[in-house]
Amino acid sequence: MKKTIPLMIVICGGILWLLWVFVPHTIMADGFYSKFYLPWARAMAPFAIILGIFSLSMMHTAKIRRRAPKWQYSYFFFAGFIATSLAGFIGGTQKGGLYMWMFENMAMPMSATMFSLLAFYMASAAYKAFRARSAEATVLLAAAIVVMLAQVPLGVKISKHLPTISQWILDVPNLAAKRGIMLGVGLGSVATTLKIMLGIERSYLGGD
Amino acid sequence: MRLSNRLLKLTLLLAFAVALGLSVASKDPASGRNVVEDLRVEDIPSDNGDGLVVSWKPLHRSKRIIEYRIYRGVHPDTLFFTQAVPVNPNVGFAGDRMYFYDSGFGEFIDITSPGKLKQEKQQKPGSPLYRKIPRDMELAARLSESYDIYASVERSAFYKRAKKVYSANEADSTAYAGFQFRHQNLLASMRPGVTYYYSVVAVDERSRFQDPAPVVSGSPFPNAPEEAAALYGVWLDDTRELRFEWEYPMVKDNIMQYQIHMVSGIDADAWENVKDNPDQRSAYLRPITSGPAGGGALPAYTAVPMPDGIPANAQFAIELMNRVGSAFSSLAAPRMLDSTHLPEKPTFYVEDKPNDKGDRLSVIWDHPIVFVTKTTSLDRNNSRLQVNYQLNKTDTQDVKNLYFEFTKMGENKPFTTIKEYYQDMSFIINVPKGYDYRKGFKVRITMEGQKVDRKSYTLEQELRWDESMMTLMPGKELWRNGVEVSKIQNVVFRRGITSPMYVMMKRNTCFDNNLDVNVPYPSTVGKLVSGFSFVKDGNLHTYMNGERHMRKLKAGESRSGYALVSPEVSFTYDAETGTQLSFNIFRDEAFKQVENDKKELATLKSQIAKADSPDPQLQAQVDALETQVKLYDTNENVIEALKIKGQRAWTRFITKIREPESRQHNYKVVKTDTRGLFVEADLDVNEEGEPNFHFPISNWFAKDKFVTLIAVIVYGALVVTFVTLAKRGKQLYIRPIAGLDEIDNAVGRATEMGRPMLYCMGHGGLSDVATLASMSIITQVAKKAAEYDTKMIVPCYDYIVLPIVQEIVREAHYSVGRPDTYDKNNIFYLTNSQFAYVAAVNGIMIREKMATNFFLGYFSAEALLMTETGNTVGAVQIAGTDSVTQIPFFITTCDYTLIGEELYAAGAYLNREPMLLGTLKAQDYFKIIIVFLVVVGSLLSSLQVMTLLNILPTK
Repeated sequence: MKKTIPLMIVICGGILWLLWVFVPHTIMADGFYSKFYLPWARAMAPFAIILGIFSLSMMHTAKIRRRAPKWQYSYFFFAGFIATSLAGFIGGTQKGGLYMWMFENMAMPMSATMFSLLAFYMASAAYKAFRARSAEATVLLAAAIVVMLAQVPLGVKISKHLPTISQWILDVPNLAAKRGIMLGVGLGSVATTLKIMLGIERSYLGGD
Repeated sequence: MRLSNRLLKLTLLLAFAVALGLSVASKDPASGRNVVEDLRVEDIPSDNGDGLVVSWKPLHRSKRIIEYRIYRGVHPDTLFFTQAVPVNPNVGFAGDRMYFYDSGFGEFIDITSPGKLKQEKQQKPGSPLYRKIPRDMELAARLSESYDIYASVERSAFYKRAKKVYSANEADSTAYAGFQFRHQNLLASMRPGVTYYYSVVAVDERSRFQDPAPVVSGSPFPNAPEEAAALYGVWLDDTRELRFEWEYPMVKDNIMQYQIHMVSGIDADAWENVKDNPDQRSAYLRPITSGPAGGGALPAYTAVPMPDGIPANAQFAIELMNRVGSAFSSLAAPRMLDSTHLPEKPTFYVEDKPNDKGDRLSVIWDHPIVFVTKTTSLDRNNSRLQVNYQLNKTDTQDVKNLYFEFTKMGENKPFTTIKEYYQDMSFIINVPKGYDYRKGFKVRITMEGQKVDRKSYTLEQELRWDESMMTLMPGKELWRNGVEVSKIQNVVFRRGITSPMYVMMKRNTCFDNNLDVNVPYPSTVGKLVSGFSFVKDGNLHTYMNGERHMRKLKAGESRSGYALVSPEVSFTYDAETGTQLSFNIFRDEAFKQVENDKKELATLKSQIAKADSPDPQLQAQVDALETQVKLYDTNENVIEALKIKGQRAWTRFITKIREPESRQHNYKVVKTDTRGLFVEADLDVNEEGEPNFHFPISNWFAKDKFVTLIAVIVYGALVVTFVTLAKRGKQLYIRPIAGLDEIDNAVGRATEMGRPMLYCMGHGGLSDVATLASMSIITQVAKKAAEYDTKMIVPCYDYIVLPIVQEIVREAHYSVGRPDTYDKNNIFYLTNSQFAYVAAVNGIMIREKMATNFFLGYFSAEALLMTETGNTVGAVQIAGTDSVTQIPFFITTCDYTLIGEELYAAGAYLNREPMLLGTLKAQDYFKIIIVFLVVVGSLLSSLQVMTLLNILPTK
């Protein structure tokens, strides 16, 4: 019973979504999706985040209690969590309040900093990828050089054909490989969905 | 959470210190400066008295202002936030003054309004500025004395949540429909003659409110309209007819009527001096036609038969009128033409859009229109041109082949003909050798398809050298069957079932052949608010029509506040009598109304019988009432309605009848050169001569997804077949996947090194298939980890995924008999902020010195940041994702990568359960079918057989 009822809910939900794809009728488009699904999805999300907050708090509390390595950092979690919550609950989340100020002046720059690191990591990854250790890697290196050179004015200076070759690499072999992967992904998605709908795949219920 | 008291206090203290510090940092040291200067409030000219224009001198760009907030009130000491005008702080505002037109119905009170009166942020004590008008019924009632209020109520709330409310005025026994704030959005419009007060505050990019501008007042007044922007006349000599077309001025909503005058005995310059003086101009005017303007929405053209002809130098002017006055246009002399100059009479049809939820129609007046949009030279010698074209057609119009014939300028024989059997909106032509392509080309376009062939329908264009674009571009002209139509517009009008007047929908150019008409399902019901009721100190107060009433609250009466609207809604239209019947949404009140109407009719009839002389006004009243009362017994919808017993069934039936009727329209298309030469299409009527009213149909099946449905069924059948075979014990071969074979070694490595493992499910939610696939892998990995007693850390990105993963890992520990090793705290929620998640995961990897990392799920830009860090700490990394853009990064930085579908197959591969393996085999066989279709489709398309391609869905 513990698994049968959730399984039935999932199967019914799956069939409903399948119908949603093939039935454009207003009953499905407005009645089911806009008036039923969306409000429920929105209403459920805040309850789920409580679980998340509780889990994170438990983890950091345990860390502090056990004096796990670098346990002092856990205080920053609580400090940040409480400060942000207070700022939001007391001052509101609109522009001009402390909450939005913290978001714009702390969270966003920190996120941007992390994102900017990507450039260096990409350079490092590119170095690894372009080492011509095998025939395949050499092809990769050559293709990458052509594509990269074609993106800059120097490339056109070297040869007027470089942009054409680059575009061909992107449009033909690259796109063919991408589409091949996407075809597999698409079929795999449908297979996974069918497995779930037919009750073959049950790992999401917790367990096999 | 078992934090000790001391630690808790310390944490709270730290949090307050941080909050205080940040609060001080974000405090506004510069407030009290940068006041907006020269604020003015003036009446909007030519309007109907509901608008004011607020203008001010904008602050300099260096002040980094992001918005100007406008506050309005009916008292100078209480101004409410009305609207914000955004400004780009980088460029500032270019002009000397900024203008804000405050007119028509704007926001008044809605769900975002504060619950109580709140002063605006960062204001000094005594500031008159407040946030939006609060959800306070008493305040709304007071303000309603200075505004016209309109309630927009959500459709179902209107019928289900309306409360029958009576006024505090004992003399008023009307039952009103009362709505609380949560069920409606209230909009307000200013009233003529009332004084309104304004202030403006600039807000800079650091969200600092500058000081408010001194309060300035103004009153809106209704004005006479502006004169027409243009009047065009045409005299058709053979039909002895004058035709006029005109353009309305910018502010046109209040224009109610037009009248066209023949003006004689005065020249155009002298007319300009007298046209605004009624006494002087009247001597020159001879009205020839007039009609309704409907706020500029009704047709702006008319035809006037003049059997006696017109004077040789006849001139005309149009007078636009509203309630306050009128305005005359400049004089216009008609063009002397005949009916051969008229555009071809349009023919059109209306059809339902297929495969939709029933809210769209197409009005179609022509075959598909194809035209060249641009050309691009493909080489330095300009010997090859890429030609882009556009095909305008509806979903139901089928074009099989397009033919483009290119001819050199000055020649008649085409040098090339392109057959576009696959319409990808571009093709390449070779420029004839020795021809200077700058001379241009002529293009003749024909097509084959449903209801259209190459002989009866041609479109022609000229491609000319464009110096600025440095390429050949199409000219503005378009020849349709040899007639130049580029100046012709197709104007679509429509009227509802109850209205005799056609309202303009859209002017379409000659490059359009149809108009998509959106006929939405009603989502709200709008009504003017009659008044407000609220309870204060045990008394019921009602503010209505500028009067205030109060009485003791009766037993059983609601204590809530309500906006009161009329409960009458239009119910049905009786086509036979041309009567629109309205009903009360409260069933008992509607039945009362029916009885009252019958009684009133009897009373009025007896009055007429007793009267000595006939009273035409009373007779008209009796006639109208009699028609209505008769309908109570003859109209099918009314008869059905009057049989209904319950309130719910009553409102349900009312909506069932009224809403479809409100979505029915009759359409009309007019072809015009916009200068007086216009032709109306024949009226869209049925065989009996009655107008056809069209409405969209909600479809139960999307026919364009028929092939998809078949594919799903075939795929489903394959899955069922292979699952059945697997169940019967057939051995199914699955190719080895290195990444999955290595999972055992990876877990073993972590065990040997005594270090933990990290399992990262990416940033997908439960709705992502990759996350679901990852869940089936974590089941197996968790079992191995539990078996070897290796710590596995799972930081979750999605809080809905968290409890499921916790449950999966717990089950895994139980299933291998190691419940003691399960630690719930190893599976935790981190954050759903992408880069914060990366920072946290990287921190965990470095601190815990991971031996093995699993990155299986959906990933984006964070993938490389995490895997590179994992690489740095020397962990064995197994990754897999269906995100095509991240696969190369995983291949570069991880030891093993599951590419795309391998991720989905992993669960079955590791589990080796026959049922799961069956789905994998089905997947492979379906792929074979797809590859077969790709090959066959390519071959057939190359042979110009498009049948297969056309039946397959394109997206």
